[in-house]
Amino acid sequence: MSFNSFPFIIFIAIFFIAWPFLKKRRNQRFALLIISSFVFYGWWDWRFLFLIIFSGLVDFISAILISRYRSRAKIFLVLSILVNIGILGVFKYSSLIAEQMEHIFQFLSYPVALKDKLPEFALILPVGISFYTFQSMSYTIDVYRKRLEPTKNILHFFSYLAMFPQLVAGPIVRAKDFLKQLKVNRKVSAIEFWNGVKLIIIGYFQKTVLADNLGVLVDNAFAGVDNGLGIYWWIVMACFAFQIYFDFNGYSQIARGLAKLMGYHFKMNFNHPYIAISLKDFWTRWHISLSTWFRDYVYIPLGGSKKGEFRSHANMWATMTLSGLWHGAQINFIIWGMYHSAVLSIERIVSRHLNLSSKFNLSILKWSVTLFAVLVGWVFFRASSVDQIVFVLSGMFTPNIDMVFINDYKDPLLFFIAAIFFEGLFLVSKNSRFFSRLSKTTVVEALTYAILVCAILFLRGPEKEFIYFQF
Amino acid sequence: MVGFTVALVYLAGVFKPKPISSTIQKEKFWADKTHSSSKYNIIFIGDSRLYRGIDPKTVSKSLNGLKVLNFGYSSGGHNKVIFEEVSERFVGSDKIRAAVLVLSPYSLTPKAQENSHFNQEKERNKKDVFSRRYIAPFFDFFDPVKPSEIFQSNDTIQGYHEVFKPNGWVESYKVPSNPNYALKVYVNDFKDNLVNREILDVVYNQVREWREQGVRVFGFRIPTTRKMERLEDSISGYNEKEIRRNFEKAGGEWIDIDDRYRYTSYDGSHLEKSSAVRVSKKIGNEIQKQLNK
Repeated sequence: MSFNSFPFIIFIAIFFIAWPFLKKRRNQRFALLIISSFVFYGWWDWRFLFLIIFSGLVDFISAILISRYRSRAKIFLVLSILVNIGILGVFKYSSLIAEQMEHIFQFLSYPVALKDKLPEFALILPVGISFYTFQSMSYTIDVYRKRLEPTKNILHFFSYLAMFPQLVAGPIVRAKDFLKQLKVNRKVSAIEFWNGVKLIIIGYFQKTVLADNLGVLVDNAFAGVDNGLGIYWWIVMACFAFQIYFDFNGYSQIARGLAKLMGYHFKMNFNHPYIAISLKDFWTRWHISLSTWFRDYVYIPLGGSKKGEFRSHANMWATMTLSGLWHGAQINFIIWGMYHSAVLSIERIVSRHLNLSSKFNLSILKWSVTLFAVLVGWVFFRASSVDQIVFVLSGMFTPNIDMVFINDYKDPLLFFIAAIFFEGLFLVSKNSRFFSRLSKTTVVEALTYAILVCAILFLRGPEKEFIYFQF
Repeated sequence: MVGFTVALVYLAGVFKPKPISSTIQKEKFWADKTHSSSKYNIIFIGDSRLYRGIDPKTVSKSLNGLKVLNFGYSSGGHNKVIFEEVSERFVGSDKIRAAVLVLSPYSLTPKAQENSHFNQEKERNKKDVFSRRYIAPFFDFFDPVKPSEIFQSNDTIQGYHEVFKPNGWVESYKVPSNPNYALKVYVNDFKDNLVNREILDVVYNQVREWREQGVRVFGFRIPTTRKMERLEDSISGYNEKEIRRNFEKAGGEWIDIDDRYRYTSYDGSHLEKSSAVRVSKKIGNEIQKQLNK
């Protein structure tokens, strides 16, 4: 079930009618949350519910065993990680692995057909599998590292693992942040409730109005409809940059808003990434829950930046490449991860050897270079094949300022301007105390959110699945 | 706040312009066409030239009210999957039954046999189909509009202006109208993708099979522009005379459209609405003549 579907509206209405009645019966409340989450997930394909339950049970039991039998903790941890990685391997990467092995055998003049022999279930990617397996893994790792006491309440554990607002597309919630919230009987104040509603409205606006309308131009461009050159591709990629940002951030905002209505708090997953003035800065603002996951569970355990410069670069390359692979079992995601590693490496070397920032204010130049690097990076992410990557990049770097395509795409381009305006408002409110105060007055706030609701209802674009569902 | 929002939504809903192509109606249209269990006497089969070019209501009038379905899909090809689907939708064998094959050159190419539009609709999950057919239409009030529809007068808005009619016709025109637009597109479409003998054999075999089952089979080439027809004849491998001969040999009845260049296309491929109605009337009359024989 998707947030932007009709069944979800019915589902959420029933859920929030039942939720307050179970205020004092906490275990029943968690049971409602878990059952609702399973209905929410099972609506897509109920068979894959067993996967969440299995993966969850393995981690729930492993964590208890790790804590109880410290001398054998490593064995239980390895078992838990193997199960999770195994599930990911079978359901997400088996097709890619089989394809690559076919290439190797082909190269050795011994052609074999492995991909066709994969069982059918291995070819279906369960929605949100990367999100919940990572969430589940972080729980056992944290227990192993003694940063977290394992919960003995299975209802708490599955409420954490399967909570429907974040189950299929994050944010990836950490057990140490969330389990303690479950122990407290939280009362949702009127302000918290209103803040939750605001987040939900903003999220829906970002997804249905901005992302879905921008997707029209992007989808046509990548389907090869009337492709132009030069500036055409830069605008297409800028539209895609906003599309993916508002699509994913929209989902995260709705998830945070729904959690708030239940009395829980999820951390922010995006922090205006396109105002970043370096790629490092970008990664502290983009998909924060995933970046910090990779930092804490891959980069730092590999040695982080504490084992010399070369090792630090190598660790960063490994982390970013894995992060690319996390997004999908396609070669373009791996290239995307490696491209970001390369640019981050260059950025590190340049900033270490050329300390320009102390002499000049180069913020605008840095911002422009960062945005340029990010836009080029998105080509690897969006393209469906290496050929398409080459086609789009050569289009981008062919000088051409022909703007005839504007006539065909007036509507998506208007939403592009709206997207810039929407992000621009953040900068204005950050820098202008007057504007910030004005936007918080009751009248302006009411008017703003009423207009956003109207836009969601009447200006929504063609309905599209959330992009990050496929990961 | 809630009252204010509701009032604003109501006003916006009442005063918003009518979209040039309704999303809700479009989704219902395709879901109905693909998943309806209604039965028909006459079923037209083909691609977008068909679903934009033949009005079943007009055909039905010429056929004394027989039930007619336009079973056209974007880039639709003629293959066994579609033929079986159509066979399921005929009325009982005691009533008049006829399949009308709209044999455009593209519909006989290998790429068209993928029938991706039909398959996409066919494979849509049941919940979505139910929602599109029976729930979403109640929310017509919330049909989305584009900014250009708000700021421009309706007849100057660029893009497809479509009305989705019951029984499968999309009454269409496009702004700006450009009868040469599709020529370039079709040059690409036929690159390494020519009318294929094996596909034609499948068609002829199906004609024989239907004839054995008592289903009349008609075929014709739907009018487009003279330039497009010349282009298709020169690059697609489509030989109308030969196709007609083999089609008739298999038991099919060919409908000749003698005034084929007197119809208007807005993009050089598809017929605009008044031409679609005219050609539908002509086809209906021709079928009636044949049925009377």
